[in-house]
Amino acid sequence: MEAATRLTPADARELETAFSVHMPWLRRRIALIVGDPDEASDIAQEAFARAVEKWPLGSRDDVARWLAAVGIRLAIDALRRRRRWRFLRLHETDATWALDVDPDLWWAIAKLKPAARAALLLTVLDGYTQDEVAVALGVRRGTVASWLSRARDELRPLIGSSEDGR
Amino acid sequence: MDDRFETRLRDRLRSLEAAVPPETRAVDAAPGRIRRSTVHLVGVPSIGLAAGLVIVLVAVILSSVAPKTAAPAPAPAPSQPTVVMGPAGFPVSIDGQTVYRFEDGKTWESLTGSFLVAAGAPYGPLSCPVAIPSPAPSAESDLFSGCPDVILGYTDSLQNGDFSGIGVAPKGLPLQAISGWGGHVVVFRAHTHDPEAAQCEPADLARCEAALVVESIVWPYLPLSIDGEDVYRGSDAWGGELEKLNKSFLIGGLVRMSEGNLLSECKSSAAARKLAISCISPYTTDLGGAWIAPESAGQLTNGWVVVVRAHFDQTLAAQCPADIRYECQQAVVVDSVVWSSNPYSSNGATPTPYRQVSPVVTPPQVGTTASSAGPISGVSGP
Repeated sequence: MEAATRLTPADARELETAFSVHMPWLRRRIALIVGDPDEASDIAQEAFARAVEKWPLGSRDDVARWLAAVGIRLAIDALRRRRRWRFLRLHETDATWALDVDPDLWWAIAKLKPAARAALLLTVLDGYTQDEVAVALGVRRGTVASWLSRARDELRPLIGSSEDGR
Repeated sequence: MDDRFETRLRDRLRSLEAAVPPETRAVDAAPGRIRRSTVHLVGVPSIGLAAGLVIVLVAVILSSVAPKTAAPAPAPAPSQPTVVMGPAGFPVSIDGQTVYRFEDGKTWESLTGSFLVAAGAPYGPLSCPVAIPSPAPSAESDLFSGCPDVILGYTDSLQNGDFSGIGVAPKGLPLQAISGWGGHVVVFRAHTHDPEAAQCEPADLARCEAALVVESIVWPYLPLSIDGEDVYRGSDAWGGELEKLNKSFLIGGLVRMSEGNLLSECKSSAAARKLAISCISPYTTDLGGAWIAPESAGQLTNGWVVVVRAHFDQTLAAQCPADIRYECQQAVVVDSVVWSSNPYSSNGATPTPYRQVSPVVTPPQVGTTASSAGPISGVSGP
């Protein structure tokens, strides 16, 4: 309970606000990586729990970026553990919500390596630079560039061809 | 990289993200009600115990600080606070916490911890009579009023049509964030007896202890995010960072119309008439300090607090005459209003465009060294 005792009332209020503000989008972002919304909730809560230990994190932007980076790292770890525990592979039923909306895109990003998927989301949705993604995921910048290049190559036919049909 | 590809990919990813079903499990901060999926507990024994403890810790903390109605929910914006309005048109309590009036310093100056105080927001800083170099960083410079100064007004002075008040600690909420509400009563969370006061020289200690440090704006309520997308404040448009965004964004604040002057440059430039705030008459419109392009100002109602989806039009801004191009570049073009409230309507007053008035600085009323506190005398209004 060390974190609880060192938090000031102001910290606690900020924490409450941050939880309300950031939890919904963080959960949705993580769901794009792990598929299962319930697991995304767990991981988002765990990211938030880690934020509590570090609190205060800084400005509102800092909080969002910190949570995005930590949440996505935790999501990648979760997928790696699934591979280790083979009976916990990605289930189709985890992501029925995605299959109902855009199955082609879901399967395309699901085929990417978890870290590559995370890098893609961080750059495309959150506007992170490749350097920032490299720091967030603990890899070299060249690795990130390679992931993104391959990811875009794989997605380009899908995104391009879909334009004609839309 | 192909911009169209990036845009299409981003749009489809966002659509996919938006389809994630809402949280259906109890996560309302009660220990034991936040549960992990059994299958994942089996799969992640390394985190199971630690994460469980940490999650319970979060739950304990949140349950101790959160109002019962403030549980996170898949709502588009955080829950609004419970506000009890008073007869003067501003709250007397928020979420059960008393709102003190700024002019009643005796009631709040000795409180420990943070409290809520209603005060008039200034239009801008007091100008300085002469150029005064910035003081060296110190506890005193963080807590004493300086020049330029941030003055909060008495709530009754706003009703009387003038603006009188006292200075607050420079270390608190920056002027840009406050002045977006200029001319209106706002409820601030603030505190006195700041810990930094202990570092003041003995002669300044009482004054440092009495300094009012503004932490945040609590009322009128303005969402921090909508559907997971951050809502910028109007004051965020001041720094130029928003102009770098190559996409639409959400921005919110108080809609204010003030008297404007039509510049001659407007006549010759269609671009300026669409974008430059000086090219609309008789009233200009700002949103919490952000300049609203004349072409889209008609969507906003004076005195309302709104969140809009907006963008900058730098292509059109490049066509503005050089003298007012900066106005065009900073013009926020409103696409649509996505959230609104009318917090100042409860007293029955119809908002009208305001005229800025020079503040009348009155003697400070906080602390035991009242005679030495407060803004530098002899300064004039903006």
